[in-house]
This record gives sequence, C-alpha cells and structure tokens, in this order.
Amino acid sequence: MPRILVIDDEPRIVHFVSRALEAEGYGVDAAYDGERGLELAQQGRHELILLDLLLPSMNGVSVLKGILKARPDQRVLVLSALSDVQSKVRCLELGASDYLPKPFALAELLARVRARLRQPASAPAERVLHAGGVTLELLRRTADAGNGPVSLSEREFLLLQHFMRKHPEVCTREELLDDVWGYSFDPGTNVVDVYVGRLRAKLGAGVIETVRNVGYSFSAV
Amino acid sequence: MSATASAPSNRPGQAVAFLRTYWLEIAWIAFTLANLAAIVIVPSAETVPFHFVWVSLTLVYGIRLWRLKTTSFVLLAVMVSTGTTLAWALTHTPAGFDELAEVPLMAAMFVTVMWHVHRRQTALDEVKRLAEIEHRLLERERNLVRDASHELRTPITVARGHAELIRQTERGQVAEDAGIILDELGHLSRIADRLLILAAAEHPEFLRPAPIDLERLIVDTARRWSVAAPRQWRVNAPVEGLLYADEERLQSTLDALIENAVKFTREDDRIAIVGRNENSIAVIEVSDTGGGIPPAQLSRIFDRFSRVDEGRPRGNGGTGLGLAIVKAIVEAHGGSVRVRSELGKGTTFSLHIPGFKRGPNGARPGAWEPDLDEARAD
Repeated sequence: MPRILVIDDEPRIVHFVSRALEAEGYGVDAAYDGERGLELAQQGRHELILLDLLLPSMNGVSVLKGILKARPDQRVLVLSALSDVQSKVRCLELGASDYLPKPFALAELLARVRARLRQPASAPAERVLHAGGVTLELLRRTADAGNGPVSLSEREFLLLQHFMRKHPEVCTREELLDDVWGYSFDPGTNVVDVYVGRLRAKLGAGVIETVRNVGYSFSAV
Repeated sequence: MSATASAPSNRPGQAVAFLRTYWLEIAWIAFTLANLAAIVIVPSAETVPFHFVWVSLTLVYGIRLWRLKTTSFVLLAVMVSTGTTLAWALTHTPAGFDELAEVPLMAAMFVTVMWHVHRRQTALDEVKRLAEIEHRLLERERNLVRDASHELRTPITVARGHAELIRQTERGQVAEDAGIILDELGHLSRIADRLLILAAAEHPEFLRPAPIDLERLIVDTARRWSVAAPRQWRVNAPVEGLLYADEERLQSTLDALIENAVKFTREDDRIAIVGRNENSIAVIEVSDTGGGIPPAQLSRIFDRFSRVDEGRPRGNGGTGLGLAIVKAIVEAHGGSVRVRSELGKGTTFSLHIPGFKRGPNGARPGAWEPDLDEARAD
C-alpha cells in the first residue's frame, strides 16, 4: 500500500488524518515541523505528502520548495488555513499537486488522496500538465490548446488545472465552486459559467463540454 | 594558520574596496592640495585657487553628506590651510591683509549650506520613519488576518475531523449526534469565513479592482436569480460604461442583497434591480415590495450579528454577517450603502460606488461574450 507523509504542526490534525488514512490501508508517517518534514520527504519513501502551510520553525512554502527541489516529481497535497486565491495559485505554480483549504471534510480529503495517487506524478522539472490536446504550464500560468500559449488569470488557471487533473471525470458545479472559489455552499452565482465561458473564449469552445444537469467536463480535443 | 596565510592575499582586495569607497574624497584632497600649491607658487593670483578649494568643498559635501564630526574637522582643516596659504601669499603681494576676511566668510557660507542640508535630511528621515511605521502596521494587519485564519480554522478542522471519525465508526444515536456536531461546526466555519472577510476588508490589499461592465453584471445577476426564485422581477440598468471595482466582491454584495429580498418576499411580490450613473458614481438599487423593516431595527441593520427577524430560529444558514459584509465591501471601494424601508410597503437598498466611467462597453480590451445559452442549459 502507498506510504503517505503528513506534515502539520497541530498534533490533533495529524492524529485524525493519520487514523483516517490508516483505516483506508495507507502507511502513514508524521512530522510536526518543517525541518523534520523536509528531512523525511527527502528520503523519497512517500507516494504522497500532505503539507500544512503554516509551521512553527519554517514557512510551509519554503518546505514545499525544498521538497520539490530535492524531488521534483513528488506529489504534494497542500492543506492550509489560508483560503485566498493568491496562496492557492502560488502553491500550484510551485508544483503542488493539489490544495485543500481547512476546515475540510474527511471524505473530501480521502477522495483527493485517492485521486492524486491514481494520477501519474507530474513531469519532473518542467512542471507541465497535459490533458487532451491542452498543455498547461504551471509556472508561467499559460495554456496552449494548439494555437500558441495564452496567459490565464488566477481563477482561470485554478479552474483549468482542476478540469485537467480531473480529466476524464465530470466536474460538478458544487465541486468547482468549492475548489476554485472556496464556497462551501452554492451562493447562487453563475461565476462557474462565466469562467467556463472565458476559458472557452481563450482555448476554443470544444475544450470544455457542458454535461447537462451535472456540470462540466474537460474534453480531449 | 589559515588566517595568517589568507591575510596577505586579502590586502589588495581591501585596497580596492577602500579606493572604491573613498575615490571622491581622495580626488578632492589631491585637487585641494594642487590649489594650495598654486597659491604658494603664484601668490599674485591667489583668488581663483582659493575659491576653487571652497567651491569644491561645498560640491563634495553635497554629494557625500559626511557626519557632523567629520564635516567640522574638514571645515577646520580647510580654514587653517587656506588661511595660512592666503596669509603667506598676501605677504608677497601689495594687497592688504583685509582679504583674510574671506576665510571666515566662506566658512560662514559653508555652515549655512550645512544647516540647510541638515534640515532637509531631518525632514527626509521623518518621512522615511513614517513610511516605515505605515509599512509595519500594514504588515501586522496582514499577519493578523493570516493568524486569525489559522487560529479559527485549526480547532474547527480538528473538531470536525474527530466528529467525522466518530460518525464513521459508530452507529445509531451516537452517529446521529456526531452529525449534529458536524452541522454546527459547518455553521461555525461559515461564521469564521465571514468574520475573516470582515477583518480582511480593512486591509488596503483586500480588493483586486479592474474595469468591469456594470450593465452586464446587473443583467446577468438578475437573469440568474429570476430563474432560481419566482418573483415579479424588474431590471432597469442602462449604464453603458465601466466601473473600476472588484467584480467578485461586487457580485457577492449584489447576491447578498437579492438573497435577502427573496427571503422576505412571496411569489407575487416585486423585486427590482436598478442601475444608474450619477456624476461618475455608480448607483445600484435592489428594492422589494416585501414586509419592510421596522424603523427601530433599520439603524442597526448593517451591524454585525444583527437580525431583522428576531423571532426566526437560528440555524437556517444565516450568519447575521451578510449585510455587514456588504457594507464593508462597498466601503472598501470608497462607496456607501443606504437603506430605505416602510413597513408593509417594502425595502430599498442602494449601493453608491465611485469610479464609473461612461463609454461603450465593448471598448474594453479582452471583452468576451458569455455563453448564455450554455449557462442556462443546466
């Protein structure tokens, strides 16, 4: 079974996260500060790392940088009490595989862990996502659907990377609102539709399909 | 061992560093010595080199701004050296010794320059100090929101995680009880989110403004709500132009006001959304023909945790922070929010936001056409 490393300064979070992961059959190691976490991460024995962004001895972002510098293909899921777009975009640009704001539902965390483990680790060094005919450059925040790179806004970037990582699964509106906008409930907005419209305008109408009564899915062009 | 071995090799490096730091002083001293020598060699033409020394001193001081001690020492040295050489020159020329008065006069002029420079420097330092304080306050505020996020969300995360473990491992009543705890934690989490928005709204970096198409924002919002909630909807927003605002935040205030209107009206009630431009101030009004708000509550409707309907049970999703957030967002835009209400007749909220620029909407760079048919399909 895959081994997972949990890095968080709050022992009680490590406690319930470890218990839930172990109940699913994963092997779990824990580190309660950034230095220890980085040390364990560099050994490269973990298929996935769950990293908290705020740590006492070291800033979580520097730990993330450290991990990815030592092991560029390491999958890291960032857990953070910061829910603002900038923090999220920054972590994904640096090469984190996913970002889950606290407080999270345990079922949600487990689903993301499963999804990340299913997925092949992202290409080392270059930090690029490929899905369908689209290439997303994480560091430059540009997407290319065959007509040259187009730069994306922070939200567009978050939305597209979510679609591409989920591909070929269908993404529901609720899930997109939650993951990209951080709404834990549907506030009745049409932001998802608006941003899907913007991505279609930038990358071509065929890139995202509407799935009636469900949501959207990324389509292989 | 290594220290003695490395010392000689460092010496040329140190010399270079010294030269790089003090080249101007060294050049000036050489220039001054040359001028003093000129006075001694050609005593009859003392005036020009004498003044060269003083002018160059003022020039170099203006660039280097030595500290008071250094400057006093240099001034004294220049006074003594120019004074003695000038005196020597005067003994060799027919001119009278009254020309020696030039030395204290030049010194006085130099001291005046020093005083001005000092005054200016003090003012600059004060500005720098204030900027520094301002910067630190901003930083502290930013950290405050960050720390508050951590402090509020960490215990909720811990409690929620453990409650979920209980619900998964237990059955019957215990699992149900854990479900109630989870519901309440969800509510607490929403309150925390909104309190954090309120805290962040006081920070200048809260908004990410851009030119937005106000007319489209209003029309789209109304269209979306009219599908979701059957009311007598009216929209009138002939505002061609761009508003410099944070689209997402503005959208959420509009949604909050409409959500409120929907909550307090029935199907045959009217909800009207009006947009207009009043001297570059965008005015957005959301009015309904619902029951209205009692005058006693009207004044504190924007307060945190105030509720219009006191009798309504808590836990219907509301946090009592919605209108407080509306006010905070509008004020962060430099605008204001007002409310008029009459019992039995209805309520009107109006947002006044500065920064509206009239003009064709299509002129915006990167304009796009939303896929409205697609959006309505689901």
